[in-house]
Amino acid sequence: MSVLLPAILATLQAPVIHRRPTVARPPGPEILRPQVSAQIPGFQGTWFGEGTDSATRRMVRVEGLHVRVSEACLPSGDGSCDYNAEGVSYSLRAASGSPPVSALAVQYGDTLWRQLLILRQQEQGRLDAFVYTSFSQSAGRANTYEHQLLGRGSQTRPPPVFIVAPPMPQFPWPPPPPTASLRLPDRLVAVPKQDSLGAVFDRLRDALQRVDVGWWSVYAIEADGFAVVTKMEAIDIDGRPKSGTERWSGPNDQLPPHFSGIGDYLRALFSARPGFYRIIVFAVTDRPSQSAGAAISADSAARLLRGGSDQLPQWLRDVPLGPDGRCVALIYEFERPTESDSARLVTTAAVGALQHLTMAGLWTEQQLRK
Amino acid sequence: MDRTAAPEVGKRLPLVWCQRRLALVWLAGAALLVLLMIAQSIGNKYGGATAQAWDWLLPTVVPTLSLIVGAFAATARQPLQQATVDAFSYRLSLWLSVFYLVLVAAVPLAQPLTGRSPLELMQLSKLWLGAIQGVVGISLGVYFVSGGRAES
Repeated sequence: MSVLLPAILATLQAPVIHRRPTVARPPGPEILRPQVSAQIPGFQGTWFGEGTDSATRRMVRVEGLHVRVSEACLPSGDGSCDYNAEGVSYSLRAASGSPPVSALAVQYGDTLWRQLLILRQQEQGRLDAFVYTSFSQSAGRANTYEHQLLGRGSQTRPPPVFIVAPPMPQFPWPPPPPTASLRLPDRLVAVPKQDSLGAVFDRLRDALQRVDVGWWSVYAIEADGFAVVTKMEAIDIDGRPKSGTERWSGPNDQLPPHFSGIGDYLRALFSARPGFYRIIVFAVTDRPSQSAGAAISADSAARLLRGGSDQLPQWLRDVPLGPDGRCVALIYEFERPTESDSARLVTTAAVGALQHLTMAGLWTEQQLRK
Repeated sequence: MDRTAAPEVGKRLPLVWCQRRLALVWLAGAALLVLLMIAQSIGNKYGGATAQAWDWLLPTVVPTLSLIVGAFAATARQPLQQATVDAFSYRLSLWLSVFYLVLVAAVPLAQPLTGRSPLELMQLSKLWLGAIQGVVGISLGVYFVSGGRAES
């Protein structure tokens, strides 16, 4: 990625931008004052975004330093809108003399949102577009970042039809520290460089349906990965799921307990009845999975199931799994020491991730050890 | 047998005898409750909420128990009273006491069957225990507070 981009962001006083891929900060670029279009010939013309590496329909027309962006209306995403603004051109400081323009940045928006579009010449007939969209609090949406390749458009090309992809809830990444984690063998669920995310998702879904893990929820990990969060289930201390309806009871659920005899009752009367619960997150990504942040609470974990989607959207299904792509199973185990206590994350697991996955019935130990 | 007659009406019982019977019921009931709670505390039944569990138990029995023991202590060195009390009044107090102590014991004993957490059930039980405790306290007052004014 261009070394120009971080510096451009800083000099433009761009709105808050999250989830920016980490890039070593280079020496600052030299801002060129508005120039004649002759200095930025490579940017002139009409560029189309769809049909490249992103499903987003976007048309960018550059005339001199004037930029017109046609895309889905913000912040709602309904319909299509044209946005016009004057761009600012940039070139590398390292170049001597009258350096050619390497990047063009333009910012537009209103009180609810701001969008920063950075265009960078990639190769002949191609532009890199980095689109940073920030929303005000009242818009109630998370800021987004998107990379898109723009291709030259022809005069005969029909105007783009904007198809608005529904926003995909994001799984926090790096993930909260799990109790245990395991990278699944490459051939079991995800084949790097071969699979699309959709293919990986289908395999995971089949595995989950096979063992009836209840409901699950799907989140995006940035724009190139996804996470499947299973429903919280009650387990025994060895990771075996509870039987019957007790399996899907959470730490705060009130289920009449089942006693097999007077001995059971007396044990329940005089001693604590600890409860163990877990959720499994299957994260498919090629991003580093070093955990970070505070420990997740049982309530937050339970909320994860309600916050996601039930399907992987088509635009995410089509994303190819990168060379470092993998499926990591993150086990979040919670223990409620007594009925009077609240459940808390188990940090030192007595049961490993492999045992959790085998006890859940998802795969055999042999499959997981390949 | 004449079923219309009311042979119990007007029957009287010695005050001291009634006091001792009531004290026995309360002491035995309270002892069982305390032993149950001790066993549960040792078994870590309540985990980090053990103190709250005791905070629930003690106000349910200790005030009445203090009243009873205090009355005995106050009259220990006095000559035995010959006062009597109405038999029906005594039975009413006795069964009210038994009923109340059973209700208190039912909270920890029934909790494993309910699925509710112990503290939640204890909080809930305050709704009815508080009211019944007041009634029981009034009925016992005749024996342990105003015993001196009982008919002799």
